[in-house]
Amino acid sequence: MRAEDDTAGPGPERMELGAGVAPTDDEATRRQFLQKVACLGLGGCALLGPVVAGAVVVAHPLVERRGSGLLVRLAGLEDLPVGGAPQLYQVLAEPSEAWLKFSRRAIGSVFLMRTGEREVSAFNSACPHVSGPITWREETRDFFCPLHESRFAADGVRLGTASPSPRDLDALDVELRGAEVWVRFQNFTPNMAQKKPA
Amino acid sequence: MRALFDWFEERTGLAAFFRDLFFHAVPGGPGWRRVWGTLVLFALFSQCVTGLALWLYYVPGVVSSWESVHFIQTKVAGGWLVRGLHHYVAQVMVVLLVLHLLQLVIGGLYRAPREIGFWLSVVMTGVVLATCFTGYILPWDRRGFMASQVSSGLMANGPFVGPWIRELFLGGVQPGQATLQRVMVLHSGVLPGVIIGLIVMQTLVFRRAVRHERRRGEGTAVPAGTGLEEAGLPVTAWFPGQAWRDAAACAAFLSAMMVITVVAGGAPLEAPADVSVADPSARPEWYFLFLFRLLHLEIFAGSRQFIPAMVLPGAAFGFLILMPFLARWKFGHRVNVFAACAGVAGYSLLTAWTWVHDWRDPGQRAAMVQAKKEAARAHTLAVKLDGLPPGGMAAVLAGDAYTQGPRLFAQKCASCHAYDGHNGQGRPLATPASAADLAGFGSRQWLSEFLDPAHLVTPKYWGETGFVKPSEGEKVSKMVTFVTEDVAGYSAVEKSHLEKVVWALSAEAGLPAQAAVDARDATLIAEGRRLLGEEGLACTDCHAWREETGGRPVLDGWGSRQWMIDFIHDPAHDRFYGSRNDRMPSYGVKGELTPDQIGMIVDWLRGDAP
Repeated sequence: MRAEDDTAGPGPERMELGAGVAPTDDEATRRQFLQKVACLGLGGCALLGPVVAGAVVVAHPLVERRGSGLLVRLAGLEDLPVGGAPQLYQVLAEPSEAWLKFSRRAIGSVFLMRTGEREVSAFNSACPHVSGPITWREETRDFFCPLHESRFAADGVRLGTASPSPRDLDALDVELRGAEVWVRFQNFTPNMAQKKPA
Repeated sequence: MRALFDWFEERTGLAAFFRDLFFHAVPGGPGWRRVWGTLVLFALFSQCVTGLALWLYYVPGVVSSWESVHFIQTKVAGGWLVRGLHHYVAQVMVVLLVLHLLQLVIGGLYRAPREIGFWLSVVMTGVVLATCFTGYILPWDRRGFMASQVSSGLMANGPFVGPWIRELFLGGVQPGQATLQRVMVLHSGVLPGVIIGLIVMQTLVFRRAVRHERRRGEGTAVPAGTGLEEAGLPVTAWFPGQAWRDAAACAAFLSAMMVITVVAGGAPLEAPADVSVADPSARPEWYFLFLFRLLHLEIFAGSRQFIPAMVLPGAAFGFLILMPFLARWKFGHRVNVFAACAGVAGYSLLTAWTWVHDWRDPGQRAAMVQAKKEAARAHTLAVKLDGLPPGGMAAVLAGDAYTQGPRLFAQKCASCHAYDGHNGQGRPLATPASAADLAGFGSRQWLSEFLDPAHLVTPKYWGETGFVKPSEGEKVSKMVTFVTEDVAGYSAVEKSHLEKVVWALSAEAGLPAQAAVDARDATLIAEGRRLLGEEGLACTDCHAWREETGGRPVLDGWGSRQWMIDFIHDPAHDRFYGSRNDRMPSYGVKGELTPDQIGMIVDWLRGDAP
């Protein structure tokens, strides 16, 4: 929608810069320079305005608050024999997403393993590589991810010379309240050397 | 480097394109009145950018449209600003385009050989209006919902295929999920595509028209009134002389839009759509108010609704299209200018008429206040809940006492009771109140006025009830004689006893707003409780109170949540008015109100709503 009366023919005779303005005139050159600066400055601001505002909206996920985890009761101490194989427990919660709050459902799972009389270790069952579903293999006594064959020892440390996983299994904080095992469930950004809460 | 550039240029011609774009000649030199076209282009650019950003979060759907827009508005970083810009720029674009059309007509820039360019502008204005219209349906708030309902209703009034068009637009027989999906496809897909196509065509057509004219006119002898009178003057390139003016205009336009958005606090969002509420305050966006007014004219009533809704806009559109042909006639141009001015004047007049009409209608003003209240309530609740159930905000509001209380009161109670003089929703009662005004029921003030001989017999309390004006064969209620005779003759001491009794009874109600005062006056309230008995005002002669049972209405827990629920459930119960019940229906017993509904009325009356 070019303005109705500014669209003179782009004939080749009018293609050169500043046609009609005497190029030798210093005053005219200076004015043209200022006009070009104004063009860049004002035009840039105008075009960038909506773009920047839109980009902030697009970038919203980067500034979204990150969960500090959810403290849940997963098991009783009596369910976990000392030195027994890691047990997988589902974590149930009412997760929120955008404007939604869902009813109670599984939001992840945790391996619990009793390492001492009053010591329990907990690992998020998502592989730190690309969140594959880790399983415990009793015959080799290791954690195993079927996606890219990451292996982890019972204490969560990576096994093998070149593990696909950039870090050991994600250990979760455990709190023993009497005979109850409470875990701070949390997910972490996959495929990073550090544990960055997701 | 040069070789690479040439290789690229040879295959794309991009540099030549931009040279053409930047250095195309502006006949007559640069000027501020030529910024128009660039401004419209810039507004469209801004709409595309902000629209795409909003698209990342907006989810069309009856349980997600309002919710996602509210999320954008309150949670997404910069969301309110981007939505505000999108909203206000759209409004201003309508103004820009209408003024632009007027400029074209008055300036004679629609005549040969510019007819097609002019037609494209006319179509573009229509398509932009359609984009705005679909845009304000999308939030699925009251206005959006009503817009879909009313517009589709008008479609059904159209001749022959009207009902089919309606269902094609709605994607079903009722506005709902499918409608939102269709409107979304139109608003963000089809219509923007059409607009971009129109711009491309317009650019091509105008350039060709101007070139043609210049060849024919050889620089000077161009036809008068085609805007090229200046063709003999020096011709300068668009860049930078005109370009910086365009840039400045765009920057100023954007700044103004930002200021409007910030001052207005972003775009409005009304309460979520509610099929069960016929919101009398519903109005279309201001640029469609003229249609709204036309529809209210008596000559267009009934089966002739399609005339203002379709025939008149169609005729206006047709006239615009025919203008170039009309202009060939000697006086044609003058007729066109007159018609265009008359059209804009009529449009403005009808719009202003609606505003004035609404402003002078107290019912409409009250409805607008009520709609604002409900919008604010929905917003407050959504923020407070910090996460909505998958059923959406409408489901939350369906169980919200603050929202449903006044509505139910207006439907069920306001045939007899007023609330602070109105029907609960800020509007006058249909018939004069014939029972007590229930605003502040249970409070000290309500009760002390009730027990005041000067007030009890007024229409605000019992003046119009059967207790004061008994029917044939009945006597005036003993309560009324007590107040008008006994209380009227009270000594100073008895009056101070009465005040304590009022405080004690009001404490029974346990109103949340009075909790602090009740706690503060605990001693006096205890004294008041004692004075209810024989050693004081002897209320227990008639009323059940603590160990004195049998009398009615029962004063234990008077005005409390449970007492009120039980009362509304069955006022004719022995605990309440029994056989002396005036005309109040037993809402619960008859099933006219569910227990939930009674609870919501009570919670709203008591101010218990969270």
